[in-house]
Amino acid sequence: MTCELDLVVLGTGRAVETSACRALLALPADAGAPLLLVWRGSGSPGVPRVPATPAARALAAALTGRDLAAVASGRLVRCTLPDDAAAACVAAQRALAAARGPVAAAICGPRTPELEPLVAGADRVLVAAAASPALAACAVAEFGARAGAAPASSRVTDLLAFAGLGRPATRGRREDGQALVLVLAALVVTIVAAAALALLASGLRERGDHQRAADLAALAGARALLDLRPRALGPVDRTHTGAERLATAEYLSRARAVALQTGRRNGAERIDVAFSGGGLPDRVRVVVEDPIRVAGLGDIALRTVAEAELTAYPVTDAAGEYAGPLAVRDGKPMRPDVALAYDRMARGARDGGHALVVVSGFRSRREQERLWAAHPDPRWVAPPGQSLHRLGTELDLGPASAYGWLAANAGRFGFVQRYAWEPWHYGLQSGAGSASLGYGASGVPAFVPVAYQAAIRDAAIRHQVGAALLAAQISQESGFDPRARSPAGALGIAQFMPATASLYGLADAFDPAQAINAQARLMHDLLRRFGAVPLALAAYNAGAGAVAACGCIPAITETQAYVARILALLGTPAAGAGGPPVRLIL
Amino acid sequence: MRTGSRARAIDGQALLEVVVLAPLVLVAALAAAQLLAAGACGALAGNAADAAAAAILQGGDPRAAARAALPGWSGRHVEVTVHGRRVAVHVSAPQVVPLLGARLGASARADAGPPA
Repeated sequence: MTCELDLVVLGTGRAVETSACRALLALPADAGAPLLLVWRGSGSPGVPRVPATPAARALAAALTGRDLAAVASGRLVRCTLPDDAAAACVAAQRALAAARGPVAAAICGPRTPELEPLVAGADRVLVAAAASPALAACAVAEFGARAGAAPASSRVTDLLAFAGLGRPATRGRREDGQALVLVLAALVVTIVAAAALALLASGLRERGDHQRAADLAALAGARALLDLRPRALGPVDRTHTGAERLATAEYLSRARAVALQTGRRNGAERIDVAFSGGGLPDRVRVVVEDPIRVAGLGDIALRTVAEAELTAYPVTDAAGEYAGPLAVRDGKPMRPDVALAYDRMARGARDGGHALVVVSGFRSRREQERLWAAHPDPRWVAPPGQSLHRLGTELDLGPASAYGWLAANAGRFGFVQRYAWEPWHYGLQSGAGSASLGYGASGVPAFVPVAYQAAIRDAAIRHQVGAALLAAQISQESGFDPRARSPAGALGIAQFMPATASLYGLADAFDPAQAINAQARLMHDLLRRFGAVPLALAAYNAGAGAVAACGCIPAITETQAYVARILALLGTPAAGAGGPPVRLIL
Repeated sequence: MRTGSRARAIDGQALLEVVVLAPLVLVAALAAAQLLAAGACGALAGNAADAAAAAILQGGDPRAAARAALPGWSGRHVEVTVHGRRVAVHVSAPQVVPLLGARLGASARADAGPPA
């Protein structure tokens, strides 16, 4: 401390008196020394608030015995000096001289000569002045330091209070550099929060990396299933690679290897790959169980899962579910060509005084499963995989008042009533070209030998069947060999059985042009009847009766493989259902 | 008089501290914001690389898929590189702090795996 003052003069006023009192009480209890707070002026010194110490009581008694107003409270003795201060100060000085032990005094008011006896009587003196708040603050601090009280530096707020610049501080708080402390604390808090955020973000990012690795591994596995599928289904692609058939175990092993390599190339280590789906699997599930490493927390166990499926073409166990684009009427989805036919029929019904409403249209297998679960009665709900609504050709129509009109007129618009007991259920039977079903581009594929391109193109146009479908079918049937003969007796490039050839007027099954034309005509009829490419293909291979019996692809290995192989040849994104050939489902 | 000097010193101390430290706090906050932006770029780059690799597997355009996976503001800040079945995406951070922001950014790689 640099202040050399040992006296401080305070002005009168309650706040100043209180501050002086607090300064005195901050002094150490020095062998029971009483603290004397004296202020000048009239009035009562107040009443005791706490029991007085013996020394304080003795000092108060000595003061009152000399006709001074004094009250002892704790260690503090309050005393009021009357107007005739000179005599009173002498009396007070005598009382102090008689007091036990040292006495600390605070005198509130201007320092005047008559106070000198009183000042001399106190061992430590504090007199504060209001004339200079800063001087008063410095003096209080200096006095406290000399008296062994709390360090002066802890009193900044008190000093500011003296100076009228703020509230008195809580005891023990260091005041110098308070702003610095606050700023530094804020910085520390900011840094700690940023570090915590960084750790959290690091963990989340690592988790995201694992999820991405799982996603890509699942997609790669599904893509491998798709790409290898033709080879897994038999020696079909003689026009392309001539590759031999893959056993199912080898097929899955290769797809698993692709998924594992993909996962590892993307940073995953502990990877598990599983396949699901009836017949040949069409779903890949990848689980990554690498822990995430968070600084300070170590490794945290984490399990990320991804699942992908094939979507390029319906698989055989989907029983020909429509996978192409959908149009919507009255909020119900249906095949686009069905929607156009319905629009024409609705206009006709309106002319007849009926406002048709579509109650139900295309229903996926999953939707059918829900319906079946709610009403497992085949009289009212077809089992999953057998409902014609999965083909996108079927409509449940209303209102009931239009049933009569529908029965009489639906045929004019290509619709037929499917079941006699369901007057609301109609299906479209006309114009079911394969391109409109979402399979096959209209052009002739490049793999078709030049000698047959014109015949395929002409037949496709004549019978409204996609050229790509016809080409893929011929590739599967005979590999474009016009002299082909099967062990079962099928003949020619389109592998007609003699009875079927006769039915379709095919005189020479070994004549490619005739055979391709008959094939297109037969497929047109089958598409019209079954409304779905997979079912039409199944009927071409196994016979229409077998498909009609179950409304599905019959459970014949050869037929299922036949359908799947052709769909695989058609199953590019450009020629397929319009979406990606593989997709994530989990 | 020395007492008066001390009082003036006390009076001005808080102001001085605030004047000196406020810019430091501001710089620290800006740096933190810049680092957060760089961190966000890392997540964005990872998502974009993943989308691009997925597009390869799904027969799509990896570059278009990567850009589609990023928010609109990132258009000028993205660089997509495709080597066969491998994709690298670099996203530059927005410049919260001039010069510093230009040097920050994040890259991510994704691999569509071997062909079957």
